[in-house]
Amino acid sequence: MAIASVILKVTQAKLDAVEATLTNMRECVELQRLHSVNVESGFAVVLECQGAKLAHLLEHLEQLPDVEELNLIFANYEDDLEAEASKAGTKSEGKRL
Amino acid sequence: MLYKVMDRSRRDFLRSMAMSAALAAVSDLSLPAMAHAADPDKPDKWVKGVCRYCGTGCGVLIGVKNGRAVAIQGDPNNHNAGLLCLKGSLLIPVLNCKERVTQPLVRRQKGGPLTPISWDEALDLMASKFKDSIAKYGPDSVAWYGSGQCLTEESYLANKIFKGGFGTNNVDGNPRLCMASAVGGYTTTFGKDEPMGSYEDIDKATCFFIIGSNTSEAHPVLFRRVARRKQVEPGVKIIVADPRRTNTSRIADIHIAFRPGTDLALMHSMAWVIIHEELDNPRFWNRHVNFINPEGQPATFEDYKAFLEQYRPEKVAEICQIPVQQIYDAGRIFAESAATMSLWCMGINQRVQGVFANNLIHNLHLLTGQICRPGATSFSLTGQPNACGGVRDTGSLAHLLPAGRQVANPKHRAEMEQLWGLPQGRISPKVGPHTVALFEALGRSEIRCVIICETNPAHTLPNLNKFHKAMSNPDAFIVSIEAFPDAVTLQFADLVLAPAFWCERDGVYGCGERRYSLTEKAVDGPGQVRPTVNTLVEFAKRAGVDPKLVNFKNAEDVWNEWRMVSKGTTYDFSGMTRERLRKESGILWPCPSEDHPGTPMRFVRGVDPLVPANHPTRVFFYGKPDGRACIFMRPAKGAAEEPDQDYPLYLTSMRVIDHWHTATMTGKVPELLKANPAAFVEINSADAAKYNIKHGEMVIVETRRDAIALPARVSDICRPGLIAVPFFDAKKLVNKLFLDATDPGSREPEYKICAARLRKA
Repeated sequence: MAIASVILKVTQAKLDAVEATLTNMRECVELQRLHSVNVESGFAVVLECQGAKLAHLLEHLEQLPDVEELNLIFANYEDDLEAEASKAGTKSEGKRL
Repeated sequence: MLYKVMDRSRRDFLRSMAMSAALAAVSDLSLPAMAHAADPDKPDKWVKGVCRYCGTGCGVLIGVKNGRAVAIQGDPNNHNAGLLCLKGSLLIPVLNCKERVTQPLVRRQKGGPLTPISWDEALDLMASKFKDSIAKYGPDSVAWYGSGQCLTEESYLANKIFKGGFGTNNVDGNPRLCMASAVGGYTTTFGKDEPMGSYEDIDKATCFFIIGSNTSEAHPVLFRRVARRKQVEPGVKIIVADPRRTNTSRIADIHIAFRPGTDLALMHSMAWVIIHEELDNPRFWNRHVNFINPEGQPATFEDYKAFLEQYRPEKVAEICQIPVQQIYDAGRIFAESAATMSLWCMGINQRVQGVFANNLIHNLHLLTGQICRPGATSFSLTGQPNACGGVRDTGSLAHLLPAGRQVANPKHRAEMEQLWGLPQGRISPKVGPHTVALFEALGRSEIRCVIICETNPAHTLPNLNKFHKAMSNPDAFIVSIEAFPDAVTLQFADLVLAPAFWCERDGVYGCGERRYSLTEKAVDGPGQVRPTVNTLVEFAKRAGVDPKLVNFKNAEDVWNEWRMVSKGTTYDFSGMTRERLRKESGILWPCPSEDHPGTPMRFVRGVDPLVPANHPTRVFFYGKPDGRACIFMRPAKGAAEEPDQDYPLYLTSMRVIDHWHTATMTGKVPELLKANPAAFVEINSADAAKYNIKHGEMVIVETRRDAIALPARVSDICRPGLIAVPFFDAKKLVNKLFLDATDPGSREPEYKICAARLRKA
């Protein structure tokens, strides 16, 4: 299991659309809109997914229409959490390769 | 179902940490700033300081309202550019926690309780005990055991009181347990301690060789910088050499999970590849390097090449139990990168071959010329906030004097006697005992009085049962200057003094990149706490030290003397006035004048003020008489205690991201405590299957020294045959399991390897 956070810079006009996309993604577990000097418009996103799939997930997010830039800020990989997710009934994608 | 609860909490914690890191990365919208904005009780002022935890030395701003610390944020002008890890972000609850030593305490008789005593009585008692001991048994019957958490001013002053005032070199400190091998590596290879590079190199490197360091958990802010570098430049390569598959290894292009203790062979083998594929840099090593054979005698490049024949990759791959291709790839990437930066920490240092392992990292840089260029450097990471500036630089170890001087060198002793205004011959020529020997001497009543300052040796020493016995010696008088009442060492203390903690007093910390930063006083401490500088001055005067030696009113006075003692040395930071430190967010030494900006890279003409402007070569290793660094032919040997039939597993000690050292601070923060409340043993799933151990079951971890029951965490983090334990938990003193064998050069203990066995509880 990987828990990671990213900053997504998003075109101002498309914030709602991107937010809707992110909200519908199972791996996106927390989301906060940003309005700051460095990120005029965008999101801080916490992701949780199978460890081996994190890289693909990041690529997918980066390629979303209207996402201008993706910065990976934090990544933690841990097996125990995967087992726990499975026990807790969260959809698990099997053991990390 | 403790583990279910624990894992759920940890998961929540990691999610929260991930979000806080993301928000902190957007510098004008950090969590503290948001908290501040949401809080109608806005701070009156922000006071500049340095984080109290690891050796990264992140700058912080402490928000104060009505004399109380209420918020913290990263200092945008320091090297961390406003970022903090979660531990750092949660420092305010530690500062404000109720569990503090707020007044002096005395144990009137061994085994009795600690009871309050006035400062006056406490200092008189302490002074009389030390004076009596010196009168009866000589100056070598007293000792100071300091810390990489003391302020620079505190370490410098204690060193002066003991070496100059009492006339004993019985001064050591906990950096002996973590950084001494790095000191040995730098001083033997380059002639001078401390890294030549700085954190800026991370932003320029195109290859990182990370060995013996779980940077992601032990130095999160630096790891974030490394990860960001790779993200910005996808061509950047990361090689991680570690027997554990840590979070650090997960961003690596190559993870070399070698058999514990075989990393010296691995590095020699990488050198073999580099030479045999003509990836070395003869232009560099011809000019700047001497080769030294295993006997310590001058040798040639051809001798070195012949020496490396015993480390051919095919053979070493078998020794290390790794794919041979990894050795070839690692050697090639290291050498062919535009700029390679090595990072290492306890996995290299806490070994009986710690100094040699350090030398071999430097070897790779010198052989390839991957040094003294932006991004190309060999950089030792540091575990404590002031091990470098406070203990290494002030010479507060048993064999050192300030600014790189050595006790054993008569010229250096004479210089310090002159600087301190001492009569000739006052500083003893006898090197004092290193940490393990110091506590052994306490057990034998050879040392009878010791001050232990801001460190917790009854938790951190190896082979703890032996040293608990030593610290229980009825002849011993142990003074502990300690902020937190739950530190295990207090159980052995006869007198406890209440220090002002962190920003309750002002002083300087020097972090891993030679950066000195000032923490200004932000708040008053609770109860009767006092700045340790004042405590030491008062103690010294009462113990009979010449008052002229300790004529200091405050830490600033001490700093000004130490600044001038550094003048003209290779550490010269005489340009760092207190006023400058108040204005600037840290300065890197050398800094020989008040208009000097500091030195991001040593040994380089035009950058390092100590290299003459007209020096004929760009690089000049001035720590060596002929200006050449050394490539050493250090034989690779095993650990002090290898697994055998009775104890078939390797046991290693490790860190977790949620706690710092003995958790006397992080244990006060509910979020951190919940995330990792107790020690555990990490077991590879193949070993767990072999022993029929299930995740969460209690198991007994046993070595030749002790046995401890711990819950099992079954995963693929450890390689098969290796188990790992964190050492933060005071209820499970896992250092009882480790042996106290030390490196013959640095005298740093081997916490990283011993033989163990497992059974179900």
